[in-house]
Amino acid sequence: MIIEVNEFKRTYTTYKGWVSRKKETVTAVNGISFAVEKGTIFGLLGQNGAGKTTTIKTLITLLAPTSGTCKVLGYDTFRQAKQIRPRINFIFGGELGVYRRLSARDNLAYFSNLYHVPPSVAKARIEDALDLVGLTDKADILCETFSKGMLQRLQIARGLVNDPEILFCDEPTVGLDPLGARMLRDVLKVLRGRGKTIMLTTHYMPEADELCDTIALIDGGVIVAMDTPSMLKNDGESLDDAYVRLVGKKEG
Amino acid sequence: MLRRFSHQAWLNFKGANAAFSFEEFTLLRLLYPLVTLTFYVLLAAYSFNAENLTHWVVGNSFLLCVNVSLFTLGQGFDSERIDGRLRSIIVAPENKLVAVLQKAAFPMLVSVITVFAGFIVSSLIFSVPFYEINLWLFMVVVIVSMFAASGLGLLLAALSLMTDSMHLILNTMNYVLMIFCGANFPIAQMPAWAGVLSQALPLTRGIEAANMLFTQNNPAAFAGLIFGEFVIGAIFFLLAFLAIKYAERTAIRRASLELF
Ligand SMILES: Nc1ncnc2c1ncn2[C@@H]1O[C@H](COP(=O)(O)OP(=O)(O)OP(=O)(O)O)[C@@H](O)[C@H]1O
Ligand SMILES: [Mg+2]
Repeated sequence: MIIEVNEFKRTYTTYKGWVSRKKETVTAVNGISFAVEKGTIFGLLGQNGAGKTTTIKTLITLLAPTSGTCKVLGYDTFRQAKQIRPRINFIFGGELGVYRRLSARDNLAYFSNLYHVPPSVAKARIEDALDLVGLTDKADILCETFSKGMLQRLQIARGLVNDPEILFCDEPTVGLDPLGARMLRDVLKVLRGRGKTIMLTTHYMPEADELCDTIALIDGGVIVAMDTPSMLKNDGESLDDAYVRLVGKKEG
Repeated sequence: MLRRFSHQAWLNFKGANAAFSFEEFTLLRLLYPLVTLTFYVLLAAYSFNAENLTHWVVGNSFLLCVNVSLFTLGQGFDSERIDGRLRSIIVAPENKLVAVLQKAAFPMLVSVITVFAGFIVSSLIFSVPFYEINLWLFMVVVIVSMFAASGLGLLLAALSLMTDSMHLILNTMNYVLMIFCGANFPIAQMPAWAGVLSQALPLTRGIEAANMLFTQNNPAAFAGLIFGEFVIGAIFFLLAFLAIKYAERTAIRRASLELF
């Protein structure tokens, strides 16, 4: 198993007020376990605040588990981050995260350098990525003039600069037009075809249904169901219906 | 590796300055520092009733370029955090200390030019005999002092992974340097503890060495000061290296890497 999560728990501690500091602890993920097989797409679905981003951040070595273990490529995400980092990458939704005063091409060059990709390899890979996300025409324009969807396309290209073995995608289709969203789905399928592993969160059920080999439904920091999309659905149900049945029963 | 470093440094610089026109850039980087310099030298001239302003011109032109090392390095992670790129940098294999240095490389280069221009222009205004000294040696002093100040800047950058009060910290440090490194106030007149502090700070020896170029010819003492400044810098670099490693791990534990 290329990703192994065991009894993973994460709390956040925040402080309020500055005369008398009050400590507040929020449990974002409350003991989840799952494993992802190499060469598959694993979907993590759930309500806002369910703990999806927290889980992904932990797996990409940006956050330490409060308890339990997370292993990626056989290495512990906190203690052995160094071994994991060159071999994975991520695509997050949202407009932050690129240099707005650099062109798309310069941005990708910058991130390639962060991953120590040799210049000759990087050059060809950047052109491929730009072509893949449909930004070749705009590659030399400053990103501050980009639309939301164009920035998101750039984020996708950024996630590919080191040809990662595992790609973590947190709401990667946010802001994309229908063609852009389909492009992303095609990219993810091609990557899976090449043996790459993908972990995906999305609030768009048809997308999860189309892409995922396995889906975990997470609610209030715990996994409430985990199976293939077809097993999650009852006869004649869409994934949307199944989601409402499995997650909605508590919130009514 | 060097190629990658300079490429990254250039991309950083381009990204930071693309918004400015050449005129704006020159005004910001040359005229503003020059006015600041003039202000402090005039202040010294009137408050100490000094005839010979060499000491203040030298000290303050030093402070100027050191400010750049301190601020651009110290804010290195902070600006990335605000723009949501910190996670990409943390999660990438690149050494974090190197990533911050790449950001500061060009600003520091520019500030060496600034300090030289500032030094010569203010020397002309305040009639400092800069043509009598070996400008190459002066350059060496500037570069070694900037190296030492960079070490301090990097050490502060480590803090920025754990706190969001960097403006306060950097400005305080700036005044600490201004007061204790001997640029504006004679160290000899300070209490003993301040003397000890000033010896532990970067810049103190650099400024003393630069002043020596004007006042006396003592190659051995000069070399000693330069070496001392270099050692201070090396110590700060080592501390910064360890502190950044520690701060990264602490930030990953406490979830203080991102604002949202
Ligand atoms: N840095 C933080 N400090 C404090 N609390 C946090 C922090 N990040 C997340 N949380 C809290 O942890 C919980 C889980 O958040 P998380 O971002 O993992 O949810 P999510 O499943 O990604 O939600 P969404 O679908 O809205 O993206 C939420 O209650 C959130 O308020
Ligand atoms: Mg989220």
